[in-house]
Amino acid sequence: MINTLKSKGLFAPVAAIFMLVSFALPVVYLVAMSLSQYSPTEGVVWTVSFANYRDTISDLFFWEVGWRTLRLSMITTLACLVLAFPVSHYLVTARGWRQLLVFIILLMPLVTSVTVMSYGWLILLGNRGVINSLLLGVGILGSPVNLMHNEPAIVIGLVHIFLVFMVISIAGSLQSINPSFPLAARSLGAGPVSVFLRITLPLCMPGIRAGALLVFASSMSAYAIPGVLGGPRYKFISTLVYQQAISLFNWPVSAAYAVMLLIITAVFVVIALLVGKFAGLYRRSR
Amino acid sequence: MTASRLMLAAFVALICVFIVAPILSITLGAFTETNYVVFPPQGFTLKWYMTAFGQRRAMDALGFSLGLAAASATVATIVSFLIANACRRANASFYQFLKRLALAPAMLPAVFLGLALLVAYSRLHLRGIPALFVGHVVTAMPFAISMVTVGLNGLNPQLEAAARSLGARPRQVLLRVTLPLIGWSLVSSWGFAFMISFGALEISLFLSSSTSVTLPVYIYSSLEWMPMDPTLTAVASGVILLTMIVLVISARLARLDRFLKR
Repeated sequence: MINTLKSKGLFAPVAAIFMLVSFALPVVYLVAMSLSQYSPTEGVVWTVSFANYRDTISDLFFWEVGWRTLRLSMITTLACLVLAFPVSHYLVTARGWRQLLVFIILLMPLVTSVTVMSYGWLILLGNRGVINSLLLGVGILGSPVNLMHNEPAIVIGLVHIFLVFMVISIAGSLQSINPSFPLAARSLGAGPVSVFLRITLPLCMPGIRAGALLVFASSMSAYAIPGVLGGPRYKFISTLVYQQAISLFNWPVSAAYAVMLLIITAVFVVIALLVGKFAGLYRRSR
Repeated sequence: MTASRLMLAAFVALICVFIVAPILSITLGAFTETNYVVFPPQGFTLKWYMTAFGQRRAMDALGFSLGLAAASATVATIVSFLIANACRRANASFYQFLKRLALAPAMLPAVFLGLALLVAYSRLHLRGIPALFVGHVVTAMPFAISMVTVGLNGLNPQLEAAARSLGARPRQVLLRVTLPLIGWSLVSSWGFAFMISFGALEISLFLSSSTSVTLPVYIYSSLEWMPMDPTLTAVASGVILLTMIVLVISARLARLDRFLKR
């Protein structure tokens, strides 16, 4: 009886309290903080006002950064989608050590520290980096080109880390396709492109949706990759959150930025889901 | 058929090169004999690794990160097991809610989580190492609880029922049936939680103080001043090596490849 009490009755509630105190309460507290005001002399003044949100929404600089975050996250998602399809197909059809090797390679950038990954791209793309040295050595270039501190560099860095999300999601869908469907379509005279567009792609939609959501949401909240590869000019919303909180000690405004980042991401995820749903309904109704 | 298969393999190989390129250039960059990272590396030397071992701040950060990752992975795995195990009970809606709560940090932006913990923990006067520790446990939870759940889902509950009907007490069932059968998932859960905590940057940027600097924070702040210093490259390739070892062991144990088999 004592054992029952120990193993079931006591430890699990401790885990429950731990999760509530360490995670749930801070999130609620942050949202409350975003409604308070910051005063340079007194610090945080507790109020319930939407002034921080009003200021953020009317701040053109915030929207410049927000639009960049959104645009580059969407480009990253599309790039991952295009690149992931062949890789997923390979992963599902390959066997043995090749499959495991490709899978582990894909996982490497995700589990290795994002700091180290952005450092790797800095070494590759920097003025004295690998690519510039190669191009200079071959003689294609006379002087080094600046490959960093621009938007394409950010997209490359993001695709590199988050590609695995898309590959795994699409591979899961590809696996569940009954292999006789494409074969039946082929025997009825459909070409490979037509089979892909009308059989494989529609049946992969759940995987594409899941993968796209993961890649998009992760890119929206990226911090280190835009920080290192984008430089001071090309900021993401995460950068603004960090600057307000750590450099300026303005926790209320920083909290409002963080909540805005979450809201913008959620709004676009919901829009994407609705568009996908209606597109599906339209196709079925035809 | 074979031609298209060959093209597919070539494309996948290209993607693999794309993924390995930055990892490889860090690893190779540290072997150069010059005072800054150049390509192709000039000569071959291990002196930068030796210099890295001699740098106190880097080694302090490494030791701190290792200890922090090991401790938070251990706690995350234990808490995950308790929650996931409680979810198997009959009336477990509260624990189902807790499980969803434990998965939530993966869906929040890292800076949102970091700021929330900074703001709330400083209200609770929780600063420095304790705050970092709790923050890392929260960050690692989603990965730990997913792996533990996979293990528990694959467990046949009749084995536990059989042990109970043969007179085993709950603790005996737990220690001699449940834990041995899902041990592999606990180890791989620990491995993934370790990697996540060891590599976490944003949460540590918010919560670390001058006395508690994790290795990713150390590297990130050094990037501004001395990015092409081979010593820093050597430190970073140490991070890669450690992560690779844990990744390969965890992937083998979790038999990750079977997720991809029909």
